[in-house]
Amino acid sequence: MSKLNPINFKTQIGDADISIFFTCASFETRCFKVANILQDFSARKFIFYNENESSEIKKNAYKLKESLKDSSLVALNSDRPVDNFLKIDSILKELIDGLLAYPETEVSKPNILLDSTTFTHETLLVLVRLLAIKSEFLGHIYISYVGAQNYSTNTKSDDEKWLSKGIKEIRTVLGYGGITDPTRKNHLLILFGFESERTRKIIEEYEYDLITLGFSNSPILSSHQKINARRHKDLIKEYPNAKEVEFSLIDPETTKKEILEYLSGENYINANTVIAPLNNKLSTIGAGLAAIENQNIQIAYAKPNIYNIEGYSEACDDFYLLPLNFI
Amino acid sequence: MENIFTKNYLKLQTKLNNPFEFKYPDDIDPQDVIDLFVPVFGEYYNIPISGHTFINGARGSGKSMMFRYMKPDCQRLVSSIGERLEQPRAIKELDYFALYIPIKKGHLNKTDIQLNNKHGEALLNEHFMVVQFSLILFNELATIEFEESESNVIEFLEFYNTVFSVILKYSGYTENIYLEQATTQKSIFSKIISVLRDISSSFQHDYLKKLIGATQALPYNGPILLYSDFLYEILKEFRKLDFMPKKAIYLLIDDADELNVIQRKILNSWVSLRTSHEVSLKISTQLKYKIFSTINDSRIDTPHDYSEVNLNDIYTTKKDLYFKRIHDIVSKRLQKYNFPITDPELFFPSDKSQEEKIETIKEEYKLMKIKEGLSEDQAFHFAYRYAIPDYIKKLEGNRYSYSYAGFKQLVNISSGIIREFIDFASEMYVAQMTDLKSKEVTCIDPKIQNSEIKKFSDRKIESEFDKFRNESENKGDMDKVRNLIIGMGGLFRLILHSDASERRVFSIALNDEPDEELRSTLELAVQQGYLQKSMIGNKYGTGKSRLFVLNRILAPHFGLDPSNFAGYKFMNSAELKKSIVNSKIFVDYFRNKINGKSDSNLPTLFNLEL
Repeated sequence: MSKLNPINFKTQIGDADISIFFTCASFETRCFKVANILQDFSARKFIFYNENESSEIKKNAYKLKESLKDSSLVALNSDRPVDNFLKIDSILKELIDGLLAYPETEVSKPNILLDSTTFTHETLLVLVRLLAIKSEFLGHIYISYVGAQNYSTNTKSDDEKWLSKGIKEIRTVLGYGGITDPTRKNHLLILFGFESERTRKIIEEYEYDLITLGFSNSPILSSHQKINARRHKDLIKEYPNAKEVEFSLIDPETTKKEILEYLSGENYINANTVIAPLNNKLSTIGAGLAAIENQNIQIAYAKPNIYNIEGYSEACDDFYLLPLNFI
Repeated sequence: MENIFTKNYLKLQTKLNNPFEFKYPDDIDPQDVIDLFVPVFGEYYNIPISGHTFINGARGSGKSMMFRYMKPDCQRLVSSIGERLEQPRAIKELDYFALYIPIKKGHLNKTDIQLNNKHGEALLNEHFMVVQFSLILFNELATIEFEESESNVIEFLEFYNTVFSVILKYSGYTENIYLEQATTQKSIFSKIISVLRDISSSFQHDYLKKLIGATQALPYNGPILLYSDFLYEILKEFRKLDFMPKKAIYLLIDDADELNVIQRKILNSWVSLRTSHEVSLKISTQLKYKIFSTINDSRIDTPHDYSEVNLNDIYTTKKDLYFKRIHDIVSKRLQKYNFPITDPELFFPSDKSQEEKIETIKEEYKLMKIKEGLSEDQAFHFAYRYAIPDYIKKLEGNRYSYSYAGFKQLVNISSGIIREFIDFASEMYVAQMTDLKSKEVTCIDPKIQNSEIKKFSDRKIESEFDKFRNESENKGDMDKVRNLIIGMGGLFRLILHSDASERRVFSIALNDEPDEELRSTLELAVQQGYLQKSMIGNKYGTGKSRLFVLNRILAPHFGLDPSNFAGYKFMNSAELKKSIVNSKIFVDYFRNKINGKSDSNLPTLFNLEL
């Protein structure tokens, strides 16, 4: 794990010899932080954006395109996960096919930087899954992430803070269908963040036998921890049968280990586990890695009805840069 | 005061044995199910007889409890006419043999399956459904207490080797699963489950999982288990075994809305097969199913292919029956928990002083009308119709002075959703317990009933509305719904306080078709549970009009009379549309038109239909 200031981040990216950069435009200005540093780098850059969401996203996608040399826009539709999957798959295929045209001695495998900051949880998980499948053709893969200094900046009190509301649809994430045995107990593991109401809805929709509420043990900022802890405590009171587990928000590898260890416990080892990652992108990647390693795990995506577009977040000054390994 | 967020709340609830505490039907012991379940099959006669049936109802309308009651472990405890037996009857004596198949989110509707590029989409989805259903069924069968005897084991082993294995082989399963011998039926069930588990796991591991990395359409070379060739044939033959009742097998498919569109079409294709004498499909939905075509795009229709039961109709069409059902449910719960008072009308008493005042008004009105020359019946009807509205009117608009306590009023307020009644009854019980500081509860004080039901009603229009609004994509639409509801509530209140001939108005009937904006606002209000929709004979007797009934849970919030018999106000769509822009202008528009005018109809239930 490494948390870096902008200068060190730029230096390390330079040393990493990145040739492919994936990022995602968002209504959040956080989407510019890593991209700005990559501006002068010669890597080939892909800017994903959801064309069916807020117009602000498209605007920011075009801004990114203008500022990044050798970049391509990739329009996705957050209501069409299968089409998105096929599009991302074809981009990776094209990149790999291009490499395969060279004799092995002439080309090195490309190093990739994936800025996870403003991808939707679903697209990020799909990208990670596809990178895992194609990892033998790829060089080093790095994940960057810019945390939020403040969330829900347009609300006054801690109680009012919100990021998204409602659930439009709950679906399994492509590549993370898990193995379901209907004769076994069903277990829902929620990696909880701020969103109590959405968590309640997910619990209600699933009506599963076993519930675990995951709680972050290593926050990006301690002020976030305070709000999370209080809301988590309230939820536990509402669902007295729910169990608790802690997970990392800063290192996907640690998150993966924590999840896998927890699920190897006797109550869960033979259960159908569905993970609903509702916290930050690093922990979502950790959940994805756990499900790639233990293919029985399913991951669910609860698509929000609305986002707090006006005041979603303010970016931190620091950058996280981590290697992504598929073992 | 303890509330849902304080730590002691749960302790308090558990400790005090709340008779209205919610439990998932699957977690209830069969003896308790018999104690608590109120038989509903007199009304829904299609459900326990052979034939495919769709059972539609909102969350909380009692579908899963009904299925729980139909399972063999409960049916053994009651006779054919639902009377409790002293000794459980043998499985083979049951009137039907029902197996429960819950459709859980994330089990069948997996996004990955859509990656097969339409290649054999229907076939592979059907295979996946049949394998998972079979696994659930045999797992369920393994828990049933069949009569264990040597001859039964021999017969079942014969079934395994000559039916199950052979049909499986025809489906393309190539493993040798022959069983030389078995000592118990359970061991044969275990073997069947293990084989099915192997097929299910292979399909998910070797096919579904590989779709994600496939560069082209992925061929599937494993066995294909289909409904008509596999599951139906297996069940048909299983039914002939000596330890089974010679009656139809019912598959109780719960929450079919959780299937994807292709899977719903596949299920409809099964419904279109005329197999119900041997295997009947009883399918519950939460009103989101919406697909009634088969995989070949032919339609399934009622009554030819299936019958339909809509659980929520009961409140709009048969209110007395709904009242009786809640009465029986509450009474059974109070008996089960050994309360000294088990009559719901005594457990939820009304406000005596208010009741006496209303009775006095009724008597005055009755005498007055008899003096005017009306018959006793006509006078009684007049008194019944005007006493409560006039009492509320005399309270000078202070809605908090009118008490909504009393079992009858509470049943009306619950508007046809059983779980709604149970929910607020539970809150009243906890409040009563807290008030008595853990002393024994014998009944719920009218003051507590009134204050809790008002809180519950306010929450529906205030915090719950804000929640829906916050979560909705288009806040403007939810604002229109709020204006509409406040407008309707305001108008009904205005009518209640007027001199109109029918003052207990709770619905609006439209003279004409609403335009797109009003239609979508009304639909949204129905979806969110603020309105219920129905049809009614129009004013001219020439056809039907759309009727929108305000959810009576809002009666305490608007200070309305929740009595079940109520009239309805006819108006043009253009008039109702004023409310979605500005509820005040809408109410003012009617202010001068209403006083003294008798433009709303007399209540009648006979011209209501859906």
